Amino acid sequence: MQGKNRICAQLRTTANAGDDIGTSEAISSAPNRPTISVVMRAPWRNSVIERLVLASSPTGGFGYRPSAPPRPEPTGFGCLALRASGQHAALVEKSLKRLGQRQVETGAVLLDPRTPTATWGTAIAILAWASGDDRSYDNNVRNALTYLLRNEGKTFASNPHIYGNDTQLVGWPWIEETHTWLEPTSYALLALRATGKLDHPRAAEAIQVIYNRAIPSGGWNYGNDLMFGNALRSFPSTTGIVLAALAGRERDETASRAIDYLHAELPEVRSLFSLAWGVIGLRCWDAVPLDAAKWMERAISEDRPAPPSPLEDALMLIAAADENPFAPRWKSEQASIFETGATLG
Amino acid sequence: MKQVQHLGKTNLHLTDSAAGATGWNPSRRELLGAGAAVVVGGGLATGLQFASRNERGLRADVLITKAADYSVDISQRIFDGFAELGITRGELRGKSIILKPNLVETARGEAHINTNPAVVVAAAEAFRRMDVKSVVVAEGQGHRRDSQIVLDESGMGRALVEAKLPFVDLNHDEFTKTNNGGTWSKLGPLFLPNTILSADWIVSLPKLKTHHWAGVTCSMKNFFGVMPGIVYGWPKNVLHYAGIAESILDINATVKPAFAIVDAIVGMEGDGPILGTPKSAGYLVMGRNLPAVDATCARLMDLNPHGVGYLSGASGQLGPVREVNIAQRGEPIRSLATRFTILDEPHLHAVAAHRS
Repeated sequence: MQGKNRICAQLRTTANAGDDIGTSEAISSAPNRPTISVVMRAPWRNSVIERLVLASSPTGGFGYRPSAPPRPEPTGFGCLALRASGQHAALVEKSLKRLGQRQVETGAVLLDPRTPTATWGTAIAILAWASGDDRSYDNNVRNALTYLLRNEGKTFASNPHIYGNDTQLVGWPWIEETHTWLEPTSYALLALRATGKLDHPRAAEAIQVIYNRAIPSGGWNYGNDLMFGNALRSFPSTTGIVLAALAGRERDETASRAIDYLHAELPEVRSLFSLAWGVIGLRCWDAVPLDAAKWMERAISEDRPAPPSPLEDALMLIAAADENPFAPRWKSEQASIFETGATLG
Repeated sequence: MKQVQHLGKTNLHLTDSAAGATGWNPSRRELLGAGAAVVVGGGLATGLQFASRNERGLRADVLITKAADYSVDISQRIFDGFAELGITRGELRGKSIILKPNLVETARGEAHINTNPAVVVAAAEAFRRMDVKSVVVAEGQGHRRDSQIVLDESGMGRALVEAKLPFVDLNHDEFTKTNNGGTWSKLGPLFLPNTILSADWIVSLPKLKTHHWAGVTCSMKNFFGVMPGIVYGWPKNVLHYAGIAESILDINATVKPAFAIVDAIVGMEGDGPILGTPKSAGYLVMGRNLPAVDATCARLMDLNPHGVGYLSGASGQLGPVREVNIAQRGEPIRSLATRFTILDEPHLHAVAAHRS
């Protein structure tokens, strides 16, 4: 059987304890919810957790390299990864506080105090703060949401001769006062879903942005589908991130083409960032091939010119976590907390 | 021929003879500091106009050397090129070298998108023969933020491992707020990777390609890839809003690259820098002055450098662009020039106007 067709949805049997990968059923009554969560019995998981912990900053948080200053993205995903592992609660707590130190008056979470317009980590900080059961970070989340909903990608006149996509649709930019791009838009959508704000008009427009920029052959790239009449190429990482953001929706043609794209692409991918996001995206649609565990194990042991970064390790751990932190049911029960914020749009 | 190292948008430039006469053999870091201070004090501004015919006296050498394909001894050609261009072992001994290839994006089986790994490894070998302290390959791709997949799909990763060349992902590097060495754009201070700021010699290793916005992408445009994506985005949209040509000039005036080696063995024509088609050209282009190198490359593609916005701005500021002010060494342009197609778009007409 080809890997493309070996999706776990077809494998509702319990794997043997010694298997690389097994399935456990997590039946939900909610519509469109994945009915099977994949449990990766990844033998590398403990050593990667250890490496991630060793890479943390003494004051909490994670940088893009071991011992580098903490940044919102590796810190946010590092917290999610450790939380999913059920280990190192004290480090998670310290790191969440560290994220709070990067939040400014507007609610934005800055990459660095010297870069006040680099606010794209705000959505990831929300994901991390809203992932736990305690309410200690509710104010951080409220303020961050206020900022997130005010921060818009810049538009410019559409020109179908140059751009295939609609440049008037508004999503989120990487950097303030620049155009909408897919990765920050997807993070924002994930943050809105995590806080029960999917009914906000900006969430609806973000979904429009995503559908409008889908590559005709399947998947997404950084955020242009056609330029000067030529179709651009999809990326596994962006496709995975976007699929995670769209999880819970009906599986339509666009989603199916993206899933097919990942099924075809991921067996060749050795990169941890792309592979992890690809698997996360597929998990959110209950479409992980059985071979995924082998791909991940192979990738983690690959010889590379640069060692894995804390961000790559965190994403791999999330991809292999027993519970998918991006499953669409996630945290929707807390929606009311954030809907009462007076400043929310 | 005097060698020119231009310091930002000022008339201050050093010749080899001048540096020798004063006994001052400045490190790149010293040059960065001096350049920034002079520009801030001078407050010079020009806009993207060509300077006078004389280009303020700026002159440079550019070497064109044949290399039929990637199986030839590229390293020896580069090594010989150093001698031809007056680069001595004494000048390079103990220096830390950054090789900055162009890895904008990849697709399996489409090697013409990026600088070929054979050229990168060959350049590293040539520098190592010059007794340098270290050679590091560094890149911050503009579209794909995942360096590893780009290294894998381009074949660069395997080549670097085999050649024991370390790689630094500039998109996620730690950065330092740096005075902008130019005033063409409104970017203000630039956030540059520490890997770039701490190196002695920055070497641009681009692919010879047409570009659907800039007309030509070569050694100067290649430096968009030193700007960290975590600060400028993917694509580096901040630079687009600040003006592509203006940003290219500011970044080059600030980074002050020391050398360029252009992979023109197989280039790209048409809808570059990503979706164009391979174009076999069969040569390398090298030089210390990047505007001069890029102007020569444009002529080799039968494109008009005077129609390329960033070269107009560089003329007489960062280097010479006019043919009369560039000493062509090695192969003559006329013997290797071949027409590269470009998109028929109004914003590119000036680049190819002479063809009609």
